[in-house]
Amino acid sequence: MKRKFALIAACMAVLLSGCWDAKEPQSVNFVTALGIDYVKGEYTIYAQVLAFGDISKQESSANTEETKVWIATGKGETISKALMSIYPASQQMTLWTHVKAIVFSKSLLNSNLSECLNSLLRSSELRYTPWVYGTDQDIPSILSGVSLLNQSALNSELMDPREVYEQLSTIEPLRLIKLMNGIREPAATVLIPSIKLTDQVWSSKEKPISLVRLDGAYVISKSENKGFLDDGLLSGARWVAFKNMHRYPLLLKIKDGGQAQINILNSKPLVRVRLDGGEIKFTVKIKVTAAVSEVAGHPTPTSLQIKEAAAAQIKQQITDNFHAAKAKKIDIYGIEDILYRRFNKQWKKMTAGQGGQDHLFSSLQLEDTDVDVKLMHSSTYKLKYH
Amino acid sequence: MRMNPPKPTALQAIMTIMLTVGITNHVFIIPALLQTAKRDAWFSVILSIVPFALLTLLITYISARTRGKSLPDWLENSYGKMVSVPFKFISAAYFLGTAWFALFDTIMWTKVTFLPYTPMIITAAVLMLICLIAAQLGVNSMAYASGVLLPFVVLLGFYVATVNVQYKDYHQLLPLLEHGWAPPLKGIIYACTGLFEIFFLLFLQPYLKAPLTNKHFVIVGFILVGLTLGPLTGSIAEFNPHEASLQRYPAYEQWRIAGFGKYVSQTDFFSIYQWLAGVTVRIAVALFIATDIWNISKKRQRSALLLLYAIGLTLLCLTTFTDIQFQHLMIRFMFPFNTGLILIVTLLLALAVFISAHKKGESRT
Repeated sequence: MKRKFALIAACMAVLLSGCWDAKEPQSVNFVTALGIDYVKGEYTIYAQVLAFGDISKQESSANTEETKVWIATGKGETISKALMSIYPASQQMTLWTHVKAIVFSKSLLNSNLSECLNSLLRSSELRYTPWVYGTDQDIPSILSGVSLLNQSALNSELMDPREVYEQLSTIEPLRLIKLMNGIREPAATVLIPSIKLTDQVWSSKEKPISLVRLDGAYVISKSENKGFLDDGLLSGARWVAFKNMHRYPLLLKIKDGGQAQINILNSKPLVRVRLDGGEIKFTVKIKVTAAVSEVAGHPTPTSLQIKEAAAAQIKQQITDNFHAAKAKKIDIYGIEDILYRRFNKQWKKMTAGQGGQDHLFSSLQLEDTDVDVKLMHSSTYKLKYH
Repeated sequence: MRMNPPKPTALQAIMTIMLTVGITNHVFIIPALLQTAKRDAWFSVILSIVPFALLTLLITYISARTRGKSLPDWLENSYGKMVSVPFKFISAAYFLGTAWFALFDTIMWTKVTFLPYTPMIITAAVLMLICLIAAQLGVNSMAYASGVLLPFVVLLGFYVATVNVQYKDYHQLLPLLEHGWAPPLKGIIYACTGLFEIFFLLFLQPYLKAPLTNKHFVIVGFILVGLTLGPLTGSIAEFNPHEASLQRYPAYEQWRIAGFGKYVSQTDFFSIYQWLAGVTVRIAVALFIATDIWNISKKRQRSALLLLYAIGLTLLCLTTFTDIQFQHLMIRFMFPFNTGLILIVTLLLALAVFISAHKKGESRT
């Protein structure tokens, strides 16, 4: 009996060793967002640290105190050096596993993105889940301009862009794990959202408040920044290239002066590629589901008219967007990736040697677009069928 | 005298094997496979079903003819000590190596990922102590422990596979054979390292209530292939083959991205349970086989040998090599060597069984 007891006690003592590395939350600097800039051979890292109490702020009813964001700045010729240069003045241990967002400066995207990600990911603390952004603005202000109503900084578009995206799918948020496709895959194209500050929308006590918003996307392919696309230049990509589309409005002019606004709620694209001689011809077949949100004019546009106008406009957007992107040498619909996976031998031949990419782009042709619009409902008012 | 507890059933044996061998298929060989075959790694596994099926066939043949007897005993009866003693040495060395590498990989993984400040001697000693107790208590304790541990391991496995669906893009499994047949063919060696461990069943069999039937071997075979394909295709689809091939712990990386909703963003601690469950049973089983093969009847001597093994392995694990050397050693030498060794030993055993059966047949007529 005694021996058994001793054995149980010994086993429990073994469990204690699990507390060896235990850290108390208040004695750790939790880095919640990172900003990385690269200028003239030197990395600058901005680490946003939140007061532990500020993270769970939304629980209390009124937040009178302003949310404080602390930003550490580190510099160095390598990422590790820059990270380390933050430590001496950090007072306590710094933890990087809770980074929820990473903002890359445009100059970094243009030069050293792949090298930077290699060192970040090797550090073992950073995960693949943070949201990633590019910006051409001052990074510290972006990391600071993040919370409304003095709420927890975690309730911001920077830290969780999904909520805004669900209400208005302007630019699809991207996580680090998927950015890696644009770095490592030989033919993939990835859109990394561009983030910026705006003081045009919110104000408090008549003073404008700067908050972040997404305003376009940088195109990353083969580790390189292929260029910037604003909202307008994503009009076709939204229906074809976005993985998840939640809601995006479409304003339609209908003959006889009527107009209607519909919300596209879902878009299922099917892109087919075929090779014809030296040409890469592709067709886009797309099924969208929409809801009518606004109708105006006399006579009021009918469901069939709206459907027709919507299909025509989406088709136009897809064609225009393709040509605009092609002119910038951007493979907006990821055709090269399909080519790479489906017709690997031909892809190899086409992209071989210098000027292979140019050759690929010049032989890319949008053959046909087929749009099928389904109007699910007309919201809380009725709509005439035809 | 205490009454002898009932011997483990076939189901318990399968569960023990799923933990013991599963960790190799599910974790240890994944980086080797991704490194050699990249995107075609999953195809390597499909291809390796052919040699694996042949090996399993041989093993069922051996199993049927030895009727659940322990292999060294059977060899001694049929061919004498000249054959059985070398077999014992090879088996003991093989299983000790198995325990050593499992311990090293685990301890290094804890150091690199979640316990960077805990001295390795502590983690190694604690883990070894648990394995030592399990091995000392015998095959029943391991079989029962597996019955308790495995269901949660499987459940967690399905959890991580499900929550990560949001990151999976199975288009990334294509194109097939981008760089010709060489990469997937090379990968077969590594896929087989894990799959061929089905061989362990021959060593567990003598302790079971009844010998295993062909059906059991087929079931284990399917499970092992599934266990390899799951994290492998997952890794390629979630990351991409290039990123995955750079990772030291691809299976664990899948845990690091697993989370759901706004408030549960990290659940990787569950992977510690999974990994440790597998590795504890693996090391315990290996220690047990490497001890029991010598048929030591005195309890004291048996325990002393076990203790010697445990201390020796812990010291080896802490002193011999760095993780960089370890990876190089495993991928360049140990994995291919293990594949070859199991293959050759199985072939020789099958031959021995065949000759012995033939002889008996002759003497009868």
